[in-house]
Amino acid sequence: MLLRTLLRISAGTRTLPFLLGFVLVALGDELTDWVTPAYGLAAAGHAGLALPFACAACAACGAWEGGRLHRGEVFDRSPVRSALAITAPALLPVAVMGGLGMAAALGTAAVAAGTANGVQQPGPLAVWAGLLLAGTLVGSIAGRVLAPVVAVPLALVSSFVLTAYPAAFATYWPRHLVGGGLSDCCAVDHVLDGRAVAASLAFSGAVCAAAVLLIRARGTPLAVAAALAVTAGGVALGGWTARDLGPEPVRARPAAALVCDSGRPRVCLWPELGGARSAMVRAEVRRVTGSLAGHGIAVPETFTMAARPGPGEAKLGVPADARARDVAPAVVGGLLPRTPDCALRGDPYPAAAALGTATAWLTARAGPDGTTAPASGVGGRFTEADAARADELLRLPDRDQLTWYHATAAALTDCGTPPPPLPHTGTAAGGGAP
Amino acid sequence: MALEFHRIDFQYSRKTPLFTGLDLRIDHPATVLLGPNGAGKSTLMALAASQLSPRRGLVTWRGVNPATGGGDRAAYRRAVAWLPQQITPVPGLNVREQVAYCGWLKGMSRTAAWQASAAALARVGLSGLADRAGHQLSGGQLRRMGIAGCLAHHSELILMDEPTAGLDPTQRAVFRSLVEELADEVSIVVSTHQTEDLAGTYRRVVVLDHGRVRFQGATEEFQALAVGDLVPGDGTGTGIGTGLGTDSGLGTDSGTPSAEAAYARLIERET
Repeated sequence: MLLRTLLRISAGTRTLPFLLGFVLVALGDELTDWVTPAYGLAAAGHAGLALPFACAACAACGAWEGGRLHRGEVFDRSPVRSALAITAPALLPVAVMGGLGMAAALGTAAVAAGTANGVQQPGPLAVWAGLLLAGTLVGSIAGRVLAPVVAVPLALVSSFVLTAYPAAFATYWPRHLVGGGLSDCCAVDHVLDGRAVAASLAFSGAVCAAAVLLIRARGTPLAVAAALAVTAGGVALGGWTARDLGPEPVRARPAAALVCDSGRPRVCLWPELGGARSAMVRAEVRRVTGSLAGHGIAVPETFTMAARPGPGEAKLGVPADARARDVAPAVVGGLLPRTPDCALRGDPYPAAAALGTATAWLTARAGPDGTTAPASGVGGRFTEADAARADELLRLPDRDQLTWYHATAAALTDCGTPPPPLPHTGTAAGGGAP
Repeated sequence: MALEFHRIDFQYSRKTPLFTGLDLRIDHPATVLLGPNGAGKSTLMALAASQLSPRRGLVTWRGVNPATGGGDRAAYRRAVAWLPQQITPVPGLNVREQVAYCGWLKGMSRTAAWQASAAALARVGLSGLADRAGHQLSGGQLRRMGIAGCLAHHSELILMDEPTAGLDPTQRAVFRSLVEELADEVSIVVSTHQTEDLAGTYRRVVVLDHGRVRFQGATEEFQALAVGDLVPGDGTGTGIGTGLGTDSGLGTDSGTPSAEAAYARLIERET
């Protein structure tokens, strides 16, 4: 069949405008919200929101094309070409349609993220390709076995459910098999975990292999049994690979990619910030830390955007599109201890009550005059009550303030230490008894 | 230049054997395979087309055995074309695309198949319908389109299963004249249970019944069965040649030996 004939008759060609329209119009807002700025990998991950829809379209069109070959009885004409060689060209436009749909999603997310760096990891693209191909092949088999009126809607719905629903499972490995966590990838200090990619490829590869077996052997009982075994093997291998992954298929980004300078403090930033923004952030960090140090607050040697700062380093949690006003809260946040694992597990964490007041106090010390706490923190980091308490603290002698701060910082490192009382009231910073 | 069946055993799963030790050699370019329903004609054609595989025995065309696999299978299938009883166009393709697709399925390149399709359609008189959708063709046109598909990839042997079933007399006449013309270019084996088109179209007759060859010989020999002027078949060992008198009432009104009558008497005799 000539290429122009293939393109003219293919269900993939006819469905492509609808898929593109759906991705660009219906998913447009979803694809542009919450995507990590300037980070190509995050754009690719976020574009995964369109994957269940593209997979469903591929499966439905694959079912139609499989049905076309079946209704045309092309395999009963003593063909010289193998069943796979006959099927592949018919499915090629369908798979390409799915790929174009995902490319549209990627383009939308990339434009929203403002990235031109491309996708640093091919993982998301590999996951998409595997699942789109699997959906197309399985759909074609459904089309060969069932009437189109049944096969097409069945392929459409079941493919969507199988790729979208496991993402909500409390058991996480099924979601990684179908690329369900991709859209949570990635903050700028994280990269895609290779295990999630491997798990999905094991699954989609097994499904594709099973489909190829069925196509080649035309559904003999032995082929069906082998296909089921291969699919089960793929699920088992994928599940085993993803067994230790959490809900998000990410891991800390290697610190080697950080761009550090040699100033004091040393500031290490991800390259996505760009030259001008990096210079602005570094200048702000030094201004803020200078102000803090001027009030006797110790600052670490290094501020870093790494997900897990090393010893002697503080986390600098600025976004990739950071503005000057984001820097001081980020420095303050880096000075306070990270939430301990016990608190993340849900254990009581009494020192948390003092966190807002401590943040407000540090923010005031980081400010230009160092004596007035802002009315409330950026992003809800502290409340007006926290600011009021910080204001009262600021009227105390510096030594008392620092003593309270050090005690509070120490209490924040574990779940067993209550926060120290405020020096001037004798009550805990959260308002309760010490 | 022969299609040969050597000691063929075949049965569909869980059914009684259809062929047991069948030997048959078809070496004439225009041969008709006759037999009642269930005689095994379509199965024999499917075996010849390598769509089915015998449990035992060999099917060869010019000595090439498709069961060998690999290149032999491809060479066999390139040489042997099969038109099943129902020719189903591929949905969405027009007539020329259907023909080109047949060529591509038989291993031609896309471009070569497309180029060959025009000449093949002209050969069967369907050039004017090249752009029409396949499903818009009549039964006779569909069969001609099927033949064009076989011609596009230069088949050496065309197997046709009940090609005139369901055709009106005009379409049958068109089809018959096409087969007569093609018989000079390619070998043709037609299975049918309609005997009226025999004379002038096919020069060799094979009669199959219950999986056994009842008769094999020239068309004239076969027709002679109708009037009892029997000439034994050419070595099929069916024992035909005695006992079919002229008083059975199965001769034609004109006194010309009738293939239909011969067929009826042969089958009646054997059953």
